[in-house]
Amino acid sequence: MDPSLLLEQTLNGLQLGVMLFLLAAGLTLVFGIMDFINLAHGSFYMLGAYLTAWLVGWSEAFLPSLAGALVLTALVGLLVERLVARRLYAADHLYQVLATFGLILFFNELIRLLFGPQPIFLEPPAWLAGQLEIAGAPYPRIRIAIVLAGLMSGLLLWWLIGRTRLGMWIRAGADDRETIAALGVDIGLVFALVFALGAALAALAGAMAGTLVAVRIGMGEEILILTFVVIVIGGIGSVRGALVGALLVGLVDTYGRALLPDVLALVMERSVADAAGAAMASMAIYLLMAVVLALRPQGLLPARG
Amino acid sequence: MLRLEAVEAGYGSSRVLCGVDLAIGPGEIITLLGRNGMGKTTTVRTILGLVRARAGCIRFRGRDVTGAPPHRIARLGIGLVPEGRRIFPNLTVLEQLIAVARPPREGRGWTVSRVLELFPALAERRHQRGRTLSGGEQQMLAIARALVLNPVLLILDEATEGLAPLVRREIWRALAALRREGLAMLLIDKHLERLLELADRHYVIEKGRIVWSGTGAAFRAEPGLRARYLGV
Repeated sequence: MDPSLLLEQTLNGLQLGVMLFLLAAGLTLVFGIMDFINLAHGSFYMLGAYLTAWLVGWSEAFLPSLAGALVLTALVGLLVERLVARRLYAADHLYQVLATFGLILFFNELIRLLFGPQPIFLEPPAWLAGQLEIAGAPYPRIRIAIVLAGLMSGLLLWWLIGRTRLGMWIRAGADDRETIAALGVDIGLVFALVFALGAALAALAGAMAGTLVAVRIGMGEEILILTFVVIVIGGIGSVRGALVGALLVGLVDTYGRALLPDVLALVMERSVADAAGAAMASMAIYLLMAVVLALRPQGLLPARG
Repeated sequence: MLRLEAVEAGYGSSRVLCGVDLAIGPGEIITLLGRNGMGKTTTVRTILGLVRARAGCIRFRGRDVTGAPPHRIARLGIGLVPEGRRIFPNLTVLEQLIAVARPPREGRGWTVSRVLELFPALAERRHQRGRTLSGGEQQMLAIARALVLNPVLLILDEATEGLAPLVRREIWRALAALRREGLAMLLIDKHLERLLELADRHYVIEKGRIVWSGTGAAFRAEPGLRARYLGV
């Protein structure tokens, strides 16, 4: 195997991994702490991409547009928490799934009304266009930027949850929300902030994805399934678990697609190997999840030990 | 300071409190006595708003707090040491204190460093997670955690339950020190003699009703009380 190809696939895997991490972090916190299943988390991802594209088209400045999109999506997240999620924290998961599935349909129709049914495109800024030489091989700058931004967000989140008072409230609320409330902490407000933060992180992932592929209706639902795989592998409620799970899923998926056909070609005919490899690659992450669940049903790094 | 009038509460269709009347003055120490299942913990939980009062009225520091959310009641000045300690397993000792600490209302209040002076055993374990502490250390942390809220009323629900005699003595020593500071307390405990020494007044609860109240001397003067309501 060509080492420069391996490096490229590794970077691709990392880039998918950090995007999944940004999505998974919010989903796993909301699921783990509030015991709330939010199928509409992917809608925040889509909103982030659309809002960034819309603001870039209007202002021509990438970073301010991105920041604006994150703030707007966080506000939408707050609204969803207040109007929908808050009423369903104590309800059965089935009601949460039904309500948030309804939200998916709502947001998809809303986007169709505002932006039309055709995909739109989000141009990465000029300073992120072109290639960068890494170990002698060219690699797109935008993908490097995505990996760095994702890792930086991870660091920021680690600091927020591990080192700040808000983070202590979040962790205490995950352990025992009744006791933290009886000790004077407004846990409802903490939950709302977590929900908004999760929405903003999903929007960041969406904006990142938008610079690589078309921004379109339904983009959130596809990646949401991968995101659920990530949080199940990592351990529900655990941000560290989400990071490990996301990188694992990103790398396994990318390596699988790139390498499996070649590996299979060693033992079977090329055309058969290509078809079988592609089929097996799309199953790889589910196999990974099955193995993890068989060995550690609570996930790799569960929030509660 | 705290006054409950004809408070009724329960879980689901069962009624646990059937009209509880109770009052605590500033700096006063009272106890709630009674057998298991008579409504002691439910009374505490209703005061804090963790269980909704279905009837009656709860006033704290001149405000009607019936139906208020728990965090608002706690912030008015109640420090709860809950039954079963309820330490956060994944937060360190220091984090549990920092997370809930509130500035004092007036003068010298409880800071994180001052509660660690009160419980030197906790100071040594300040960076350990809650789940790695012994039962006695968890209990000290539960008290320290309630103190850094700088409450005017401390509620202790079974604070010495399941502890070794030496640790228990440590807890009683701390409560005596808090009494000298003039902190009001509501105590629930199995160690009657200690309570009779420490507290100003006592309430006996049976089947969700206060059936007797009075001073320690009055309690001792009625020997039938213990057998009838406490089963000892």
